[in-house]
Amino acid sequence: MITSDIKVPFLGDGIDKVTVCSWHRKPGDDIAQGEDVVEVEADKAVFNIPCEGRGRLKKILIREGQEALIGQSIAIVENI
Amino acid sequence: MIHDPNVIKIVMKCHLIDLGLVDFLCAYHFQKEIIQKVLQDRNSRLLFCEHPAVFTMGRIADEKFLLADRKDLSWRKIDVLRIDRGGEVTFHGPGQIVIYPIFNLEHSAKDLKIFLQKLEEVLIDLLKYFGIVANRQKGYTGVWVNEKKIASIGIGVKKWISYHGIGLNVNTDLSFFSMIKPCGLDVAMTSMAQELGQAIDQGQVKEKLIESFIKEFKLEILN
Repeated sequence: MITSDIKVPFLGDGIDKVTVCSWHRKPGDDIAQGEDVVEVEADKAVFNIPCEGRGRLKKILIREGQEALIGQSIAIVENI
Repeated sequence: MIHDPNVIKIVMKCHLIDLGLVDFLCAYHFQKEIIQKVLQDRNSRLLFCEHPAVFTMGRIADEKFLLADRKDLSWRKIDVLRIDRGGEVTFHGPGQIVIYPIFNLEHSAKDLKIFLQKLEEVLIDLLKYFGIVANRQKGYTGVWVNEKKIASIGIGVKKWISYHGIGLNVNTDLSFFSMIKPCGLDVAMTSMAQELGQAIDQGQVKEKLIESFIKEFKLEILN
């Protein structure tokens, strides 16, 4: 099974980490291409991160309330 | 103005919408509809409104910064809402101009820092017009007059379209802020009326806000 990672995108100069606020999907859920799957907060902004391709959420690597660095993988998606 | 070589220099087409006095949740659902329109036609929308008294908390805001008793608030019919914006607890109420820029952030180089700084710059420019010297405080998003906070900022972003926005205290009853630690800080709040010692014409403030937005975001107004 081919997998891909959901990573924290570049959000702006000087923003080096985010806090994961809320996962909209749980492991095992199907995800449509472009669907927002997680909210993260940086500074005074809540940012929705989409899944680039269609797939199934395999594993959440960073739970709600935990921090992640920009570019860090926060979930694994099985491509379908 | 914010000068950054990476910021796209082309004008941003934008509709203006004034909702007047509107319930917070009604305005929230309206914002969600507007996001879909911006995604379709790529034209931004600048919303103005005013809310009946309400406390809102950011997505991961800490409950301890709400000092008021919830039963007391319920008795006074003041809601406490947790919403999908950044930041801690804040207050909205009559006399405060709320600004929701539903903006296509491709025009802010897809950089949240640049966008937030531009919002601050709009407010600093506006307040300067009214003779109020305002500034930023490093590490604390928002706009300040000396050590007092006059405007709070908290946004959400979906597919690089912004929503939520700014609460600017114009003629706000500041006593409501004693029920919270605004933005989680030990900070006093102020308003344009308090700084100038008189009630301010909110219509005039909105007109000047639009001018500042046009200047800072290079808006081309469509309506």
